[in-house]
Amino acid sequence: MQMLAKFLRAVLKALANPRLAAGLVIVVLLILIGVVGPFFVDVRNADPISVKTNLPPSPKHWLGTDSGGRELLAVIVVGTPQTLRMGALAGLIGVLIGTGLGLIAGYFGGWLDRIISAVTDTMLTIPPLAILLVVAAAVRAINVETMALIIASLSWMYATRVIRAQVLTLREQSYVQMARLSGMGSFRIMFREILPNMVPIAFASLVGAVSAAILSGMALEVLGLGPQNTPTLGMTIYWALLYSAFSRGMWWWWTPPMLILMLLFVSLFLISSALDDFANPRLRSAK
Amino acid sequence: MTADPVLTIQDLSVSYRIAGQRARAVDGLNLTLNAGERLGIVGESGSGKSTLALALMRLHKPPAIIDSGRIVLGGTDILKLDKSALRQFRWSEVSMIPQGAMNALNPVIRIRDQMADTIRAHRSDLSGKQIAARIDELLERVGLNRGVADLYPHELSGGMKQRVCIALAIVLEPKLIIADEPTSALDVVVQRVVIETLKEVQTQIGAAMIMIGHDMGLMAQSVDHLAVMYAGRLVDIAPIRDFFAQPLHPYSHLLISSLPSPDETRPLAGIPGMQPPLLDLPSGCAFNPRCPAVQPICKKVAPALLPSGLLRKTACHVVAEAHDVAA
Amino acid sequence: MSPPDLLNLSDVTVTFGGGIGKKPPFVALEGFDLAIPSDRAEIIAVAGESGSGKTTLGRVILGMTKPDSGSVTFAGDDIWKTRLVHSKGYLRNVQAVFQDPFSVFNPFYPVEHLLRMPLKMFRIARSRAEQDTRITEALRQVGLRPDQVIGRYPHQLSGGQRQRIVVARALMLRPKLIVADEPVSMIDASLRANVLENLKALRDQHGISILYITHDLATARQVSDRLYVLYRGRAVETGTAADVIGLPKHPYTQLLMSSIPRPDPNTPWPAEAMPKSEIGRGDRTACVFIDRCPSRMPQCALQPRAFALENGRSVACHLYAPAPSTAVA
Repeated sequence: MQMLAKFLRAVLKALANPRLAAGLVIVVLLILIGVVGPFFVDVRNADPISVKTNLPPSPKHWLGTDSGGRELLAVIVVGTPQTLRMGALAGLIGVLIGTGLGLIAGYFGGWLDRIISAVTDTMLTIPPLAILLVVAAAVRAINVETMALIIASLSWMYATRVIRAQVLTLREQSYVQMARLSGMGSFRIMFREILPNMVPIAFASLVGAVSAAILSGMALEVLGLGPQNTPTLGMTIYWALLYSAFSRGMWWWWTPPMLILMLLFVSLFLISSALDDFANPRLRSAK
Repeated sequence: MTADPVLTIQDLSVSYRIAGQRARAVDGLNLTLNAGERLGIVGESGSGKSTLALALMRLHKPPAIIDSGRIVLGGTDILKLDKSALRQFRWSEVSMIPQGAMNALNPVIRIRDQMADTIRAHRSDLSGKQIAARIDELLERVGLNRGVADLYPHELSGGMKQRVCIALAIVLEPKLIIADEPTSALDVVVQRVVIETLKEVQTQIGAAMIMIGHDMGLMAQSVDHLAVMYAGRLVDIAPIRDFFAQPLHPYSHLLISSLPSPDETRPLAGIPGMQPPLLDLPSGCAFNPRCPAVQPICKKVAPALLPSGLLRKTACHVVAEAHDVAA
Repeated sequence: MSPPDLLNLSDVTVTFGGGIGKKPPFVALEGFDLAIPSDRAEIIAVAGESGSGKTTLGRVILGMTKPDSGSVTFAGDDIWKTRLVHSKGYLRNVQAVFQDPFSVFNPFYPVEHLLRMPLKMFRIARSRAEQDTRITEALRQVGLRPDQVIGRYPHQLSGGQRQRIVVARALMLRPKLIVADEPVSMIDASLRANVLENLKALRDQHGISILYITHDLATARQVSDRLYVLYRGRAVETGTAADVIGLPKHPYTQLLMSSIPRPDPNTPWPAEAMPKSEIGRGDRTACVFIDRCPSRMPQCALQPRAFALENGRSVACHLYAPAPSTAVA
């Protein structure tokens, strides 16, 4: 429980940073769209052929409708949480794998490190988008979870490298020597002594991974390789492209998803920029 | 007979502003130094000595702020200089060998080029030949072979690097050299070489020197006067021989008695307690919780720095009373 | 038959680097012998400057650096050949106090974590209550007030306090041997005495032997019984601390002693003892000190062995070689 109190205190101190606060506020608002939205909007209208097509925004349909008969406000309400979920899932899985591998490689060194590093470095040379395209095209029925998994499997390497580097440094700290001299085994040292000090970096990695995942997901979806039955933000843009919404002047179709995506990226950027401040040496204390 | 002092510090106060609170790192400091003199400043970590060193060259950074006071060096009030005048002033009138200076040498640039950069920055009028000659001259002054100029910092030992830093500090023959822990991390044998070099060089150019440290033994061998700082205030200052022969301030007394001597086995005495945090100083004299000679007045009134002998000043009620009685 | 030494190093050599196409190997420790008896507690000082090998010695004993040759035995058992050095049994008996009193504490946890850990790992106290009791007791024994320490984070305490906590930890575990690597060099001079007195108490009241690694001969004199002077990986002089420091025989020890700044302005550095060059760089067939020695002789081109003198003294210097006609020991 001491841990919880410590965590909450850290969170409160963190919120003093304006960038972090702003970023978090935006993210929370975006999440709320998906949480609160269904109470105000009939989400069934996000399904195709629910409403009249190609209507511009009006008091009845605030964001208008698209060529498939979907009400766009409902699409946003349904699609935003899907995109967020995909990004969060992909980022989390990627960072978890990366942290685990990075810890093991960094702490044990030797042949274990060489194998993991070799695999990591090799994977890094593979252009992820190319693989994504191939895999996504091959897998017929893709859903949000599968997409998250595929993206995670191609992005874990970044976290691995970052975590490994940090572990290499922390491993030499005297408190790790002390832990060993206290009879602690390797795994205990990794998880109880080293890992807690890597939370800031791991978190920063997570934010970066989520951003990258959403971008990758967007890339897939805009090319039509995303989940066909889910109106994620990327798929919406894809359909807008498919139905030539740009040239038909149907701005209400592609503007909302783009706006939301922009907000999402801005907020993630703000958060990671604020986290950079935490990683850097702080103000020197009075001496 | 006495020329004007090289350095006059009047009522200097420097504080750190953190989260709306103010910690007085240097509190109402008064000091004078004449040309050629060597002053040592000792104190525990957190006593304010490094802050003072930085403030003397206005190298302190926020959250450290100079609240008040005057620093007059060679006739100029440093605190009144504007940015460009200050840049000119630094290094030509006062230079510094900061803590860990030897680690601040650029690892990818040869010594010659680093020294040339410094010289050129202040004396753009010199030709390449003149600069090269000056570098050779400076290296010789600090007892280094000319060939050192062509080496990279990592090829030099700690003592050699520190001597390069001394050479850099005297490049423009300043009036005051500030050395902040110039021999920390150096071994005792090398330490001696570095200190002797520093003293020699300083005498040659006629500069005054302020040496900041915590090694009393080293101070005994290096300086003429010794000043003690505690919790941001100057509490004791005396000529070095008088200081060691008869330390007046109780803190000075404890500092000396806690020194192990290699020549005899004495029971070790430490100073109980810890320096108070600057944000939470006790009322009255900051040393009173740890002072073996504490009196009731010490907890209420902070003692002023008063004369306590020939060229001596001490900030202690007990000492002041004894001095009055004797006077 | 007397019991085996608590710790015995015999002809230990540690070399770093080397190999095909790399820099020449750096010899950190060479032919090093050390014996700590098991029948009495001693504080043995190992003094030297940086590069002398003293830290490497500590690392060999604590299981962090493997020696390339020679034997290291603890109570008669070789700790490296049997991998005993990594076992809990060994660690239980050999503890450490390191130089930096800040980085030994994991900044994520309050300071008592450092004491709780070994209690748990070595199964000395399983319940939290029992751990708390032992922790408070140990803290009191080193002169700290538990209520001022428990629950605090490392940056909230002074260097002296933190180092005392480390000593408290060593005390609590009642090891047979403590390796103290420069335990006071990063602490303010006025706070050192407490830590050093704590170390002496460990020897006197609890029978714990201590290997005190330092560069400061003055404190070595204050706390230790015996002294080993290291230079470039070799023990150049050994004996009781009072003897070696009071009457240094090896030219290097003499140089060290005369370079120490005396806290007395009336006792300046002796002028004639100014060291010549900075670092010895010679190869190791000759005496390691040959570059800087004012008493160089032709025979110094050959590494001297340690010549035994009276009263347990030994000096590795040809100046003290016995006359050729007498039988060499």
